Amino acid sequence: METRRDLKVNGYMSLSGGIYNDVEVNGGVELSDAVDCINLYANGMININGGLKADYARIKGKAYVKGSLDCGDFIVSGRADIDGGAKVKKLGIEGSAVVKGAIDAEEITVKGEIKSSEGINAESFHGMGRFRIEGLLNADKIRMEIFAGCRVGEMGGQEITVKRSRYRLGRFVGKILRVLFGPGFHDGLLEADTIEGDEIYLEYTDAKIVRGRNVTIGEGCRIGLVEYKDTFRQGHRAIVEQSKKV
Amino acid sequence: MEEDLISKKDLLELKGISYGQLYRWKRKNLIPEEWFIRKSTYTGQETFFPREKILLRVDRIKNMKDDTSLNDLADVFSPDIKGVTSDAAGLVSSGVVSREALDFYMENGANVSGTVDFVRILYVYVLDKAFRTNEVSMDECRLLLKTLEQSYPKFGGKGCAMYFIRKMGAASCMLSLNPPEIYFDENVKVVFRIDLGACVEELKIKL
Repeated sequence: METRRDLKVNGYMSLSGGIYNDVEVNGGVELSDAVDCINLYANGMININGGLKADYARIKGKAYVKGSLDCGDFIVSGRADIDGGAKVKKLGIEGSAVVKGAIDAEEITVKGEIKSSEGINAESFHGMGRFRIEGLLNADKIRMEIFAGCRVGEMGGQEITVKRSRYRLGRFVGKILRVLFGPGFHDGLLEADTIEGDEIYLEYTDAKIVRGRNVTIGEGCRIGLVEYKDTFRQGHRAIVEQSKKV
Repeated sequence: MEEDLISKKDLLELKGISYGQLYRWKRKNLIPEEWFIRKSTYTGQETFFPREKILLRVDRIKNMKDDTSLNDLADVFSPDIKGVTSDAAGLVSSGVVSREALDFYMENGANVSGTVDFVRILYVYVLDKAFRTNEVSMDECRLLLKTLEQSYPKFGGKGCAMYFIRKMGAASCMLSLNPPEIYFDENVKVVFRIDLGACVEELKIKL
């Protein structure tokens, strides 16, 4: 087995990538190719011109991964851009994550923004903020508190809950969002083509088709067609063009 | 040929499964991506599946999930058969194949001392199945084995089936991709058909 050595950067540096034990960055670092490490702690900026493989990575500041991300826990406060898809156990975002490709995770929590160009697979997805997901968001439990204009191609899972966030600007999350998207972004709608699940509760959602066992369409929704198996409830100020029991 | 399709709704209804389960299976790659066929209907977008394949797959998942974890199941359904090996003595003692089948395989030129790779375990397994039908002679089994050895690798792990037929007493066997569309003349009797894809899945559980 190769020996892994620690890498510690204080200040700004350009280095080649490689295999490390712990990587700690205070300041900024640019790595010219892929990095494989056990733990990564970055305060400031980290630029990787290749993939990142780690058991644990915590980024406070900004991270750019040009290749794919393969990580146990990936925790970001700030912003992460990943160009080659992400495969993680636990994804924790406070701020923003932009992924070109698909995200495969067990647990995702987002306060802020998440974008994926291909879709997301997870056991649980708990998000507060803004979501832009092309393709399918497939998770056993989906809980969204929307804070801005959101768009998801398709959603599927067991339990799906979409609500408009009760947080107002001025609170901590509001602050992050205001910094990221500017003021006035906090009363959004979720746009989706189809939403399928067993237990569905929606607010402020604009969807073509919703299919489920127990479906509740709440305030501010506009749904083309609801197909339900057991129960269907429609709140006031919700528009449902057509609903049928199947 | 237009494949017989079943809509997602009908599938859930027919098999008594929930959206949650279906999406979970999809996440775990128990149901391949290419089986999800999107079509526009008068009610909008709907997803369809190839009827026979999906019904069979759902039954298998439901039957096996009690004692197998979903992640293990994903390996079972993946067509990748490399890396699975076993030793000859273990195969017989664990009851995967009969001693007779293994002996027969060795008598016909195969060296199975030490570890045996998956493809060869599969051959013995198929031989064993053929033996158990009590319908084939030793000579015919040699033919069957030869056909397998010559042609099975050409399918590159794709699902295929073996047909053993007899016409006026003369035996023959063939391999065909699934799903097959073959018709024989009226004097032909299909003695048995062995689905090799199913054999691969069964073996992966047993090993």
